[in-house]
Amino acid sequence: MKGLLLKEWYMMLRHAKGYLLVCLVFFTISIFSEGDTFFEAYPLVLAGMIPITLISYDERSGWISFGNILPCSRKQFVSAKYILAIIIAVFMTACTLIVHIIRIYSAGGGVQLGAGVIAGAAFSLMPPSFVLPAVFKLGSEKGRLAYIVVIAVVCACIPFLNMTSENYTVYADMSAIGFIALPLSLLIFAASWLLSVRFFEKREL
Amino acid sequence: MNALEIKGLCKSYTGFELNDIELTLPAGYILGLIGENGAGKSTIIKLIMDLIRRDSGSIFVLGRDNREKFSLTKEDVGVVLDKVGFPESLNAKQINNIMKLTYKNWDEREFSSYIERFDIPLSKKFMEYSQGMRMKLGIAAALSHKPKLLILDEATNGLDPVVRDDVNGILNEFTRDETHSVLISSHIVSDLEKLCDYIAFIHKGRIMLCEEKDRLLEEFAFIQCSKEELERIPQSALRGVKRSVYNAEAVAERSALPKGIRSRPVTIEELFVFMVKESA
Repeated sequence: MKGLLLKEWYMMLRHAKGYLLVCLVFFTISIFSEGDTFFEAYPLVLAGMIPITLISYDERSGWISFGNILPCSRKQFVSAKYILAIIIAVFMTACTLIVHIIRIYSAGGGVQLGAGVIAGAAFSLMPPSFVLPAVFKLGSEKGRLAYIVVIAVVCACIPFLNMTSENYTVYADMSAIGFIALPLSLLIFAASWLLSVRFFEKREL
Repeated sequence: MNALEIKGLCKSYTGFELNDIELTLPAGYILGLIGENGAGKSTIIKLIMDLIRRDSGSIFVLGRDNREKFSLTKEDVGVVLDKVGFPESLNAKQINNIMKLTYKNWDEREFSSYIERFDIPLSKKFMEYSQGMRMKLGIAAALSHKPKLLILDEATNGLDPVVRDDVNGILNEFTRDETHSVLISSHIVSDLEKLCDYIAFIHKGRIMLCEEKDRLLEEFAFIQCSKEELERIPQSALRGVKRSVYNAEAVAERSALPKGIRSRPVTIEELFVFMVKESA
């Protein structure tokens, strides 16, 4: 398992640089833009692509078969990707928090951070939760398609939730959302892991 | 103890069927699996490594069922698949670091010595390796965790003759320890003929024969004779016949040859080719 995690780490260092650069650009824009939270929140969604991108590289190199001749179970193989997803989510949430604080102070405001950040952390776990089971069952190409569908559905829901910049503080004040969202997202994440393990154990490599 | 024991193994796909495979590899020996492309060699190896699910039958690896706690068994098995699947962006140094954390018995010194012996660059990315170099790294990794069973799927294909000879030497060294065994599949029959103690022929998903190599070479003979002479050989003794306008070539059981028929020792390649063509 440690070996698998080290491999993921090496792969992330090599292949996630592009993502980090794009996230940095988005964060910088969000600091200098007024009101709109899109550039601040989008890196959380974008970073959810990293584990899926790494699985694409695994498939291309033949690692999916080769990694499973090593002395580790399929459950461990799947778990390594989920641990990676959690690490990325925590890292990106921390970055978003820092950017959010900078934005608030540069705007001279004083918004409650707690619920907003917790909701952000919860939100960052959603993309891998929904996409990884599809990837472990169908492969990365079809899984990527599933990811796009999920994002499209989420984006389509935004107007119905009336999450415009003017209403953002209203949502941020609603601490209950944040505190319900995190345990709920962790539950979905755990269910997603179990589903992925089940799918991957049945998959022919 | 048998290093590998396969009984009644079946697996079917659309358009291909692996049927009732029986294979036994005693500990301390090398078994060569010979077959054409698409005969089912890689499917058998994937089934042994539980990468694909069998429809029926049983597989015991180093005395243990490959469906029960196979992660533990895999500690003692070194595998080189036809495609060495190390991540493309990693180098040999990073692969060593990963393997060190993966195998309990990983021997860094042994890995380094193979890297040196095979002349593999340490800091070059895997994607920049030639096909031969990829195979060499795969073989080095498979040998560096003190495996008891080595499984090689077309591993010597793509290697130049000098390195192939070197690999054959390494495999011979490996089986000097009587607890070490090798299953090697290839369609380069000449290599397997030099290397193996046991030979199995696979054709269209079926094992045609599985025997000790020396016994096969003793049992069968290559015959070049006239058509009249061929008529004198009992049909049941013939394993394959090639007829031309003037004469005939055949592989037949040596003990059943009538007196006066000239024969010479058969090679494994001839035996395989004649048997496959006969069954076609």
